[in-house]
Amino acid sequence: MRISVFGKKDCDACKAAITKLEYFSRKWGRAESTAIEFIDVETADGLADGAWRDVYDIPTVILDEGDRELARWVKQVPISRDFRKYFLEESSDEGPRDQGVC
Amino acid sequence: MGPIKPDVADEATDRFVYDDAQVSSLHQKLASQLFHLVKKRDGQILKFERDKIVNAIFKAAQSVGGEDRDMAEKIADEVILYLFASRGSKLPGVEEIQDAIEKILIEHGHAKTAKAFILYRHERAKRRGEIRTQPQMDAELKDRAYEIDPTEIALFVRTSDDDLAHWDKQRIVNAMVREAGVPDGTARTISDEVEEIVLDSKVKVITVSLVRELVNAKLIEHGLEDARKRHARLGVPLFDAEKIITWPNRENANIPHNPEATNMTLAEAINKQYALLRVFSQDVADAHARGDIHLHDLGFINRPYCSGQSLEYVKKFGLNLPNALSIARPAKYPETLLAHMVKFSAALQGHFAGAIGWDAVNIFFSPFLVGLGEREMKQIAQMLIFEYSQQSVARGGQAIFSDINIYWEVPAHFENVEAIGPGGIPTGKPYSFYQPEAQRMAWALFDVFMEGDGTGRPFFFPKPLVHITDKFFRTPGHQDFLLHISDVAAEKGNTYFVFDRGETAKISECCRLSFKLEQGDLDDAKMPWRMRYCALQNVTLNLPRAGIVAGGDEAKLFSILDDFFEIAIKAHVQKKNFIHSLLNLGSEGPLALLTMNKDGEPYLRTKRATYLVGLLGLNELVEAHMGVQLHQSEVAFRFGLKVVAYLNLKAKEASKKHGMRFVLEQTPAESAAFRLARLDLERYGAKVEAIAKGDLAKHHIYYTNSTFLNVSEAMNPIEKVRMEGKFHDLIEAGAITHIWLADSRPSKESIANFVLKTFRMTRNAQIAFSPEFTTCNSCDRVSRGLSQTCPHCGSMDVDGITRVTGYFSRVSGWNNGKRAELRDRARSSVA
Repeated sequence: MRISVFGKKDCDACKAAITKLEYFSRKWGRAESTAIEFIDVETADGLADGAWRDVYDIPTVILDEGDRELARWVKQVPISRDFRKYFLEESSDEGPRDQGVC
Repeated sequence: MGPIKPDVADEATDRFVYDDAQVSSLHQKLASQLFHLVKKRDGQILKFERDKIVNAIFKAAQSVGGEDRDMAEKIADEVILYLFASRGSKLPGVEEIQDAIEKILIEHGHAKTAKAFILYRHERAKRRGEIRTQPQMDAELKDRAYEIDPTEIALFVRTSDDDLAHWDKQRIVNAMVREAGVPDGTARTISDEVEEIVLDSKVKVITVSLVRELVNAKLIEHGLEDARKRHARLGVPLFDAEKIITWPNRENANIPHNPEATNMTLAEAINKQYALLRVFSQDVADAHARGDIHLHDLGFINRPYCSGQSLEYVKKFGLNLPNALSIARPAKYPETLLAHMVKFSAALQGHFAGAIGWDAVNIFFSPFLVGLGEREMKQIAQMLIFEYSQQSVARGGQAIFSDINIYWEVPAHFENVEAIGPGGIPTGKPYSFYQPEAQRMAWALFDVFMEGDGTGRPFFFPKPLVHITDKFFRTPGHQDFLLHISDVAAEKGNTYFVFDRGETAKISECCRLSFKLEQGDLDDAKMPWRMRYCALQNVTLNLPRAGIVAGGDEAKLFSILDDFFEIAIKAHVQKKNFIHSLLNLGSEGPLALLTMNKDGEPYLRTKRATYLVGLLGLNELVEAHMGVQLHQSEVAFRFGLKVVAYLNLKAKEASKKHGMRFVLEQTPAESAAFRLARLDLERYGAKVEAIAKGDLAKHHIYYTNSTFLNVSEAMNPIEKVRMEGKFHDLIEAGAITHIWLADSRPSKESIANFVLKTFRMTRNAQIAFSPEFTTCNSCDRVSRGLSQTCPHCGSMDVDGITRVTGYFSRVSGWNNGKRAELRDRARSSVA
């Protein structure tokens, strides 16, 4: 699973989102199989990635499995209850999930 | 023959004073020795005969009653002495001698004789079939003979004031010193040199522009390049003027062909030259000229670019404009308010190069509409649309480039604002109270758009921009209204769907421009008359050129983009300084209207001005850099996003640095897409042939507009809207996607569904559907699709109508690049 956090370096909510996701990925034993990436929208590459993913506000957190977007949270730090299922079901080989896309 | 001095001097030194007779005798003696030969007009060399000069003078004198032959002899001697003194011993020609006779007669106060001599000489010249074939020249000579001044010399200068002035070298000196700061001594040297050229040329009447060109050439010879620029004369070549007077202007499809438009085009030509010489520095002007950037509307350098207005200003303050012949108090009736709005638009159009957009028109009209029946409401709507579409008063007889922003709901930032009612008096109720009237007006406006003009053609102006917001979908009746405006979009194409998602609020206008409202603006919304916005200038970057020159080197590409961007910013700073210098003249200046202050700040709120950095040909940049177009690969598309993201960040950085609001805009590029492609073709040849679109054989080429995908690519329209929409959040000053319908006529339900999908599933900022029409100039009827003949009457005297960039116009007015694009457009069917 790959988690992209679109934000700015001086954005506290963005930092909080990363800290939280890292903490729970460790807690739930998924640290090694989960890549958490901060994408700085104040760089050209980061802003372009955000545009490609239709990101228009920060923080935006997107969970992907391969090419599939599983869920996204816009302008908020996701709460663990909402993303827990993706971490815990990560190893299962289920089909596309539709509940997470905004 | 040597100098004349010894003979005279020897005798002169014997006495202190000579009487007149002695002087005459001396002159005669001297004159008889100076010239022995003369050159005739046909080149023959004959003996110089003093008596012939005497006779010519005496005959002229006799024709006006003179009888003094001695006087004629004295004047003849003066003529000979003058000739020798002014030109040395060179063989004199007949014309030179006659010029000298005119001069001496005038200088000695024999105006009547001079006049007779000039007329005699003119008659002889006419008989010989020489020059002066134009009636105008005859009239000039006649005037000259009658208005002769004793101090005049023979050479006349046709001045800028349509007058004939006599040659005065001092004027050349004065102009160089005053206008160009040339040191007095240098100016005198140059004026001497110019005079020598003029006198040697034997020209009879010289124009001030020719004198100036000669002076400018000398300034260059003397290494005074800066002085030459300051001393430049602006204008157009005769050939160009004739073309402008005779043929239509195709740079802008909104310009009609009539005498006012001609005047505007001629004035634009001078304004452009002025801008490039005086407003912008040499490097900026050169960057524009060679096509690194495109400075828009140089012909309107003396005004801002375009604007967003508030009807509340007119409601609150009435029509009280600087220099107006009368003042109108705030309107009490809807018809009066409409008249004020239209007249104010016309006045504003004289102060902006581009669009006059009006915010929330139906919302602000609503307090005036209480109690109006359906018929009256329709009448108001009809008057508004016809007034804007038929007013040929602006910028060379164009219609006012007008936009009306329309809301079905009362937008959140206005819902609790106290409404201004008739007489400019607050009604005590918020705008939300008047939502029913606002909705009725919005509906009526689209009823009129649906009907079209008297022949059923779509209205070109005003452009109706309907804001689709989250609240729109929560407002009762929105489904029916969406179907109504979708029906108009399908039938006539007028509707622009502007998407304000989330908390976004904006005023839209021009071809796609928008002013995004920030917190300060939303605070202003409590006093909506303050919500006046402008974009001061648009400077477009030639993106394909960056791709061509970089040759695939990414670092080099971004370095070139840096250079183009920096020069664009420099251009903006210079334009800002120029406009501010005009604004600082206040009520005495040309922009007095924009400086009027009725609410504590000038009408033009420069602190809220934006400065547009336009994008053109992203598709060709990517193609030049990667070998594939935006739509052909994800990698290419994402690289295109990176380029725009990079420029977006640069705009933010520059804004901080300069304290100005630089924002990216999708350039409409009606003429720039053609101009820049042609400039690049000349410079880079095959590299441009590989990427430019259009008809290469005829050089009817163009670059793809702004960040659009290749217009010839047939795509699923919603996919096109989704993909192009990915750029829109990066382009803060406005973006649009066009859906080219051609002759297809989707159902209103299909359009409404498409709009809904666009709002919910994409980031696209604005869409418009463009049908095509054929209008017949013979029977005045209109038909769907572009045809060569009228399907009603069979006439071949037809014209096409569709969107050129962001507005409808007749295809016959389009430039060759836009016509090529029209041929390429892949038409979509929205089912």
